[in-house]
Order: sequence, then C-alpha cells, then structure tokens
Amino acid sequence: MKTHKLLFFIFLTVLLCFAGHASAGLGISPSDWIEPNGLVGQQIEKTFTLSRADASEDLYFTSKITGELTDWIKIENGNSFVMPKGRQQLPVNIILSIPQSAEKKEYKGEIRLNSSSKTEQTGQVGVLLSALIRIDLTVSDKPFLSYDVLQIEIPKQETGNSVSVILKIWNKGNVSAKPTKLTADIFDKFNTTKIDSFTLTDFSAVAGVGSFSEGQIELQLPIQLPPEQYWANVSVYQDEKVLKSSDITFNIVEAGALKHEAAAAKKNNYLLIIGGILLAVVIIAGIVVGIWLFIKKRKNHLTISKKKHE
Amino acid sequence: MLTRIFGKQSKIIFCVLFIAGIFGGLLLFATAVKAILATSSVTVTNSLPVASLGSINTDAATMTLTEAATATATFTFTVTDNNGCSDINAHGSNKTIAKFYRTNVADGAACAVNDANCYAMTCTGPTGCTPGGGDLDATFSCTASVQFYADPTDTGSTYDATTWSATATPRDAVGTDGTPNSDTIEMASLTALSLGEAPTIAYDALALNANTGTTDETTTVTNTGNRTIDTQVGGYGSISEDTYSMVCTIGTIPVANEKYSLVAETAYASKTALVTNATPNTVQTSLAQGAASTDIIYWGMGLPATGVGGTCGGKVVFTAVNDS
Repeated sequence: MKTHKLLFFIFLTVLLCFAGHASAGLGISPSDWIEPNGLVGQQIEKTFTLSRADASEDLYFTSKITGELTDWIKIENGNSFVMPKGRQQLPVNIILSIPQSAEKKEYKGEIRLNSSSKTEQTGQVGVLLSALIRIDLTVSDKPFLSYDVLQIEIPKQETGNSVSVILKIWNKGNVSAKPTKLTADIFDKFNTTKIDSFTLTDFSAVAGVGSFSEGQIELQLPIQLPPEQYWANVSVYQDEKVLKSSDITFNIVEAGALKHEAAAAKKNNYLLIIGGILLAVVIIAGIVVGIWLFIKKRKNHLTISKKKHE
Repeated sequence: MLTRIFGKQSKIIFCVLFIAGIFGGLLLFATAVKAILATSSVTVTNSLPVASLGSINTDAATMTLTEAATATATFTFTVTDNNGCSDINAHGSNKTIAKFYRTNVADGAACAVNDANCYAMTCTGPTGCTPGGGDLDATFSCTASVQFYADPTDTGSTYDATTWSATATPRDAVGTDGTPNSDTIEMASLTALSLGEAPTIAYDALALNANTGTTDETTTVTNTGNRTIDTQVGGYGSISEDTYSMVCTIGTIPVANEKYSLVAETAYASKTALVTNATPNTVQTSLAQGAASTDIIYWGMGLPATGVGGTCGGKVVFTAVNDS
C-alpha cells in the first residue's frame, strides 16, 4: 500500500510538472521598421523577434508581404517557418535590398506573419494570431552618418605590445562609421598618478563599421606597459562631439600568461564536467540502492506478516 | 636531621627554583624586549570603491521583451577598491547595489521601484577577488526580470528620446556609496496581444435568414506588450483569404455576415461587418500598456436565406498593431 501511495505521488508530481495552460498570445518586437535614409543599391538587414508566453507547442508561421517593397524583401527564415516548442522568442531576420533603379521617394510595405498550431481548435470559429511588421523606407541619395559607441573596452593583454582599445559601435546611418578622434589618459592602479596621455586622430587605416549594423573597431595606443593593473580615461569623438567617455580598469599580464590562463580554464571545464558526471552517478546509485532497500524491507515485512498469520 | 631534610627535598626545591628562575628570566627578557621594540600603529584611511566596465546584456544595443512574460536584463561590472578587493562589499548590511531604469525617470538611479520603469537588480559577487591586498578589483553580475510592459525607448515610441540605464553603486566595509558606473541600452517596442486560454467564438444554432440579434459571443483581448495597441481582425472560411466567414456542410457564409462591436448587446444590423483577412479591419481598442489592459470584442452572426446547411466553421485572425 505504501509503495502504491509513493508511486501515485510520483505520477501526480510528473503530471503537475507537465501540465500546461494553452494560452493564445503573440508579440513582435519591434513592429515598425522606419528607415529614413536608404541609399540605392544598399542592403539593409534587421532582426525582429516573435515572442509568446506559452511555448507548450510548435507554432507554424507563413509570411505574406504586401506594398511597394514586396520584391525587395527577403525573409532569411524562409516564407514559412516554425517556432519550436519550448522557445518563447524567435528572431526573424529580414533583408531589404534597394535596387539601383529605385526612385528617390518614400516606400511603404507590410510583412504579415500568420501563425497556426497543429492542435485543431474546437468550436465554430477558431481564432488565430498574426504579427505585423510595418515598413516605412525613404530612399535618398544623401549620405547619413549616425552611430553610437556602445562600449569602450581595454581587454586583458600581454606586456610587450601596444595597448589595444576596442570600440563597439552601432551604426544607424547609411555610410560606414568610425570616430574621428580618441583621447586616452593612462593612470596607475590607484587612479592617482598619470602615466601617459594619447590623442589619436589618424583613422585612415581603420575599417569602419558597415551601415545599419553592429561591429567593433580596434585601435592601438603606442605604449608598452609592464604587467600591472591600470586605469584609463578614454573619450571617443565625432569631430568635437564626445560620443562616449569611460573610466575603465585594465590588466597587463606577463608574456604567455593569456595562453596559460586559457589552458587552465579549459582544464577546469573538463574537471567540472567529470565532477558533474561523477556526482550524477553517485546520486543515481544512491536512488537505486534506496529503492532496492525499500523493496527488500517491504518484502521482509510481508514475509514476516505471512508467517505470523500461518 | 636538617641534612636529611635537605637531601630529600633538595631536588624538588631545585626544580621549583629553576622553573621560577626561567619564568622570572623570561619576564625580565620580555620587559627588556618591550623596552627595545617601540610599538607602531597606523590607521589606514578608507579608500572608497569605484565601479567600472558596466555592461548590460553583454553590450547589446537593444533589449527585447517577451509577450506576457518577463525577460532577463543582466548587468556586469567591476569594482576596484584601493584597500584591496576583500574590502568590497564587506559591510554587514550596506552591500553593492544596481538599479535598472528608464534613464529619464524621476530620481534616476535612486528611482522608486516600478515594473514599468525602475527595477532593483539582484546581484551576485564579488567574484574573482584574491585576498591579501595585491588584488584590488572584483566583478559583480546583477539581474532583473523585466516585465513585458516596461517602457519602450526605440524610434517611434513615447520615450524615444531616452534609453534605459543600469547603474552600479559600489560599497565597501564602511558601507558608504563609492563611485557609480552605468551602461545604457535601448528597450525595444513589443506589440502583442493575448486572447486568453483556448479562445473560440461559438454561436448557438441559427435558422436560415436569422441572425444573433443583440446576443453576443465574446473574445477578450489583452495587451501583452509595451505599446498602446489597436486590434486588427479579418476572417476566412477554410482557406486563407477565401472571402467566407464560414464553410458549412452545405454551402458557405460570406465573410460580411459575421459582425463585431466594441459595445455589448449592439443590434446585429448596427455591428461592423467582418472583412477578409487579406485586408483586415483595425478595431480601435486603444489598449494601454500595463499589467491588465483588456477589452472585449462582441461578435454576432447572420445566415443567408438559402444555400447553407449542416454544421459550419471558420477562422478569425487577430493582430496587434501600434495605436494610431
């Protein structure tokens, strides 16, 4: 009887774990694609995200493109695709290719993503959900420079080389983007004694970040520092406008140290995996022995009871 | 007699004297040492911690929310303390904190917690600290579960002139605020709706040439995004854009025979006719962003005088669009 109760409890627990509530909800983020500065011959890529709270089943999508931009749009996921069970978000990558022959004017279009599940709805009128992307594109012949510096980073690096500064850039314009000036003040690890200052203005050898995309630019500060921790105050400019300024710490390590660190990290990962497997084996073995002891005890109990009755 | 007494106890007395001598000597030596070694002490002035290298979602440009659910914002940063990294977060109660908020919200990083625009983050750390004084910095990782109706800041939204920020305020053993550090991110618009659990529109049996009158079937639309939304509706019978509202055992019912209204018990003739899902109608639901923003669409049906029989079924497609 006790065994039965135990089994029922486990069964009920499993049922509760897998019980779900089918809820019909669908979202798109963002839903408007406003591009005020498209250039002829340009290819613009943008990612939209479909989302749902209830991911208990596969959701099937078919797309329909309408408006003046129909032939310019390609959905990288395909014209029909699946949002798999278990996924609350699904990126949809869309490429807009402006032909060389496009007139310089405003264009509007829509991409409708119609969803359906394989579960048939009961009732006379079933309800379905769709997501709508509205596109507003203006084709012009004017170059438009617009970008944000998302992050300034000085990664951990080895002594004996110039110091690398990495700029992460989000280019929202229709031309390649790179800053026109960078200033950097290097301080000791207490951020009190200035070690050196730099102003970089020649970026002719640096490749910019492509239009309508994210990317990074790596710049070199002409200084070799001994292994230690340092502070840097870095400012990035477009002409005389400061786009971003950051106080950041960075570390210079001995030559070859990064390679050793990478090897040690790899070794630790292997040890963690092995440890995890061993732990799992011990837990499983414990459960098996526990169940075996329980059954054995139960059998002994039944045998004793039977003998008493006899 | 005395000689015997001395003979028996001489060893004991000798030992007692010897031990007393050692202790006495040590005491004298200690005093002497005390006199030679001057006691020196200094109180190190506390250096306040400094936060740097703040990064939201690994320097992503935009954060995307999930319909009717939460999405995680992760903020990592480094804290440097010139007293040594062991000093970071060492106060009993005043720990390093981080806030995630719409950048222009009242009081900025000191904002009052509100799911639409201000979150207190949950932090783990300091990590990566080697005690002993040589290592000055440690890292933190903080998270917030951001609701689907958090204010959007991207192009075209109400707050498109601003962004969201995460600000770390580092604290050490003294518990005083050190130098904060921030990072910013755009919060993407999420246009979404939900129709509740297993929604359908089920009419009662109708005679030929009859309609539902003021009797309504309902669908409850909930705004599950962060924009004010209207709701597009369009119908079809069995194949998308087939111009029917229902396909029956015998015959079909035109799409316009199915009607809707935002007002309950509206007479069938006064309700708005449904259109094909190829060119859906926009119903001005104007549902504001928020935790429980809902509206009801009331449905009615009319049958043709002839040409249909048996059971009928169809589809209505719902789409959330930004309020215009």
